Amino acid sequence: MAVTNLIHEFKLAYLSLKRAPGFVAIVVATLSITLGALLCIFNLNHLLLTKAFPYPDADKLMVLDHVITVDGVPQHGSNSIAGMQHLYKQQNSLESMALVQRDRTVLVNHQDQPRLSVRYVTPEYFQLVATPMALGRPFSQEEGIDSGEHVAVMSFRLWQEQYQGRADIIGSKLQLGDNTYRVVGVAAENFQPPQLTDIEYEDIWLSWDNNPHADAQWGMFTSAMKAIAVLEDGVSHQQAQATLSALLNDAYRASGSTLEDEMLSVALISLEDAISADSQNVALLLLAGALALLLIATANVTNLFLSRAAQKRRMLAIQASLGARTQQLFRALFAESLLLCLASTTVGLLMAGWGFVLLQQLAEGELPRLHELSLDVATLVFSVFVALVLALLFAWLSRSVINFRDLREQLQSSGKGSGVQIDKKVRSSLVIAQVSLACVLLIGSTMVMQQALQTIEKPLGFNTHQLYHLRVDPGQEFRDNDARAALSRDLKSALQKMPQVAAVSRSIAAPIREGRMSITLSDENMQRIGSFRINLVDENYFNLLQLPMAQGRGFQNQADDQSSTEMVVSESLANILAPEGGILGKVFKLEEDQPMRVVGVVKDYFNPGDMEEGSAAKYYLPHFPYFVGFDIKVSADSALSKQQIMESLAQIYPKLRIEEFIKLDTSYQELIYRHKVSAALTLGLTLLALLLAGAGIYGVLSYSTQMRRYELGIHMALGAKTHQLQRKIMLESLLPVALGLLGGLLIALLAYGLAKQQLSQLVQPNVLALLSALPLMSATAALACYLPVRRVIVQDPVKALRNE
Amino acid sequence: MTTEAKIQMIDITKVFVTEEMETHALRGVDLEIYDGDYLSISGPSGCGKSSLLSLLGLLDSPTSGRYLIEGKDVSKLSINERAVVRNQKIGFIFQAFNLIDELSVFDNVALPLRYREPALSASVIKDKVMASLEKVQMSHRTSHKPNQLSGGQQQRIAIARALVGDPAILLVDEPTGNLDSKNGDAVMDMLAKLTQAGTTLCMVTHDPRYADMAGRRLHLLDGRMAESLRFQEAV
Ligand SMILES: Nc1ncnc2c1ncn2[C@@H]1O[C@H](COP(=O)(O)OP(=O)(O)OP(=O)(O)O)[C@@H](O)[C@H]1O
Ligand SMILES: [Mg+2]
Repeated sequence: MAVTNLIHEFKLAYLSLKRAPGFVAIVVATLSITLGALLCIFNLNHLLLTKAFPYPDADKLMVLDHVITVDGVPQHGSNSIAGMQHLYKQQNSLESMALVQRDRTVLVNHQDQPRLSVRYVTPEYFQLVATPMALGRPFSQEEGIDSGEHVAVMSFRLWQEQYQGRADIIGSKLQLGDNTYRVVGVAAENFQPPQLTDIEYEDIWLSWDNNPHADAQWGMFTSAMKAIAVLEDGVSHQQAQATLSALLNDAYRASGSTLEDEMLSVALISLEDAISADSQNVALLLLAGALALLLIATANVTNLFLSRAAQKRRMLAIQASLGARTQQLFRALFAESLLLCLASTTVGLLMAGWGFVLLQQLAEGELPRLHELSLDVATLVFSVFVALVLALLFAWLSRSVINFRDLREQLQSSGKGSGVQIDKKVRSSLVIAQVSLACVLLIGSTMVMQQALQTIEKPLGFNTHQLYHLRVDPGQEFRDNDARAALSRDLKSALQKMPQVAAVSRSIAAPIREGRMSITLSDENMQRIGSFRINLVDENYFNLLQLPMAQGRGFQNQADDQSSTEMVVSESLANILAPEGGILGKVFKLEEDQPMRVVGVVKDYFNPGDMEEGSAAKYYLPHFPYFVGFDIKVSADSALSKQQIMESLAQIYPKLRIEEFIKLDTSYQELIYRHKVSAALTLGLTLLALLLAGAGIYGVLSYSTQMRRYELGIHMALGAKTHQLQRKIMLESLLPVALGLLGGLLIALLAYGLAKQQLSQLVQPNVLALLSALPLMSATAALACYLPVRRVIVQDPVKALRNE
Repeated sequence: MTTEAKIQMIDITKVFVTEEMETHALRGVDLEIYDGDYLSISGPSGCGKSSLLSLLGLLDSPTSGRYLIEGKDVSKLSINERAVVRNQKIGFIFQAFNLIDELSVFDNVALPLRYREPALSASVIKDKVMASLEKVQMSHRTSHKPNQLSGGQQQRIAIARALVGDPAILLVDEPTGNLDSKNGDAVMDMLAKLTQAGTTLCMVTHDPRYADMAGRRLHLLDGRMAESLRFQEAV
């Protein structure tokens, strides 16, 4: 009975909505866009704040970190490789412990020689994170440290992309760098490795032996070294930390590479804290934004529902007078709003699906676990919950339009009389809320957009056309510096001989790239001045990039000479080192016995991969082959491929591997890609905010103008002119708009004050953005105020009086 | 009848076009109203009375025909020019009173004066409003809101509002429609007094008793005008 009633109710609701396609379209569009955003961000929050990792006993998994305490000041983030291996072998407070070391290696015996993201792991790794396998097996216990076994487990993607998913991959040999590995397994597609060292795709897992860093000294600390572990039953967290710390510190001191007041200890952190903690604030901030958006949309849709209820008021009053109970009327209204909200949620879920893709692109490498984003049960439950709440809200508000105690008045008024059913205060509050929220959104998005646009438009200071950067992995053959220096000279001349190549310079890092390399610079008396960006380059570098010298000269041929003591600084750094000028000839030191004399000042350039303040303050030292890198300029209209380089170099050094080969044009596009996406996204957000606010104000005012049109008709009949009425109504409606603007400004300031730390990485406060956001908002609001009034007052008054 | 007509309508038609059909509400109406006239328009429901009154009051535009007020053609005026004419030449009294609930009695009556340009001074407005309220014996209720008054009182306020701008003509649509007979009679007495004092008045009414009170009685039938005699009404 109840069910058939319900079905009947939904049928009626469906038929009634079918007759109002405009209403349905606007409601569904507004709600689904905002719900899509909300669900997407909700999922992100769920993932980063509450969702368990997809590993068995994930809550027991710990990340083991080293804490170096110098003079009582603890430093986190880097681990000693030797220390980790020592703990791994000696500890007994952990049920299981796995080492993970990040590296990059070239896959030599593959025609593309791709550079892979490698993890050296001990066998426990696969048990702790329960790696599902597509093929073969994980490492066995016999393939651990000091086993002499060289085995590999491949990622699903590497298997598909480089080996076309061939089944005979198991047992085949891969040459990675200088070593050969036997493939024993392929991880399943759904394997989500814990992002312990970096947020990036992991191509392959290799057994520990051969890890080139394994024999690093005790004093070698790196963030690329991590360990995960599960505590032994009956051992408390604190006990374990204490025992492990003692074990570690004793061995560290015994190693002899310690300073007097240095201490090493172990911190056991939950996997969630280790991986997600840093990103949780960003996620929450996004959630706040999405909720604000939903609030605006809800206010808008509320208005639409109220207008619709007002239209149906007489019908509802008649039904009530015929004996329909309020409950029954409410049910009918609820059926309608529920249908709409469910439809919106369904579309919203689809949009959330797109949102995941967008988020994965935008926040790649920034936020962990992004590839786990999915429409999971929690998100579905949440979306149904939101739909229900919204549907109830809309139905309840629609119902409240009818005054059941005074049906007579409702029946008689027939739309005449002033008919203001919804309290003026409520309407004003709606407008204020709309405007202030949209204003916050607008201010935020214009600021982000302006920043992104600035980055996109900022000139580099040199031309990336025809430029390439090449980095060669010399392998074990060229271990000592002299051999590398000779190699780099040989390669340079080999490259120069290639027909496409116009010029070659040696440099250890590409001029534009993600990341930075800084070294501390001190003055003559070893007083630290600061840490500045550095590159090691040869005598052709500035010419090749066409970076003009502002003073002095660049390096000369003796740049190769490792005893050279010349340095070149950028203009920005010159201003820091010698604000009063006279930089040439000054001496600075990297180390006590390493004085460098400034011989030239070169113009600044902009690296879009390094946006930190002061990144233009840079110094250059004569080339030294830490890395065997080259900047190559090809002649006009020619191009260079990795294959050509490989062939060309193979003639002199057949075993050389290319670590990196990038075209700077491409690299530049990649570096500003994110800024472009963020500009486009914020532009979209800006327009959305304006649209929502505009639509909202328009909704409120067209509703209230509609309700007041009879009153307006009277004014017109009595001789009020168009502009007089316009002024009157605009003044009335612009007051809440002005209050909304003020409110928005205050909220924006408050939000900035509260979340300054998180926000300052995203946006810099920008008065220009603020100044451009406010008039934009005001203009939109004014237009939204003007249009509904206009519609009523530019017609013959009789129309308003007759309520047509 | 030798003086020039204050208001003159020549061959006025009004056609309402809706999706389903065209309604010919007025079909070639000629009408002249002279200074001091007390005119009633009656006829069966739907014959076009309210439509005619809307056209007279420049609330609506005719489909064709010419309309002159004090010799000036007003059929082609802009929206704002028409507003000025309504404001200065015409006073409306509606069946539903049409007072604005949010405004006090005083402000309701003052409304037409507030739309004058250049603006009138507050003291002038006050004098005129009080004089007008005096005429309808409502000067003691200036600060009340309309919904605190009886229907008869509300209609008297509406009359005061119609009079306040010294209009050339009062247009009245079913002034007693929302009132009981006692209050209706009182309002009609008041209108009669006004016409005796020289006000030009054109009234639409169903009620033959009230129609009879007018000096000139017009009859509308299916959108056409027939100046009727008393005995025709009686048939
Ligand atoms: N806006 C409109 N759209 C369509 N038809 C209309 C419109 N206004 C009036 N009509 C039609 O014009 C005709 C005249 O209407 P009008 O309101 O003038 O009649 P009336 O004489 O005032 O009737 P009543 O005595 O019932 O008030 C009617 O047939 C009516 O249906
Ligand atoms: Mg009528």
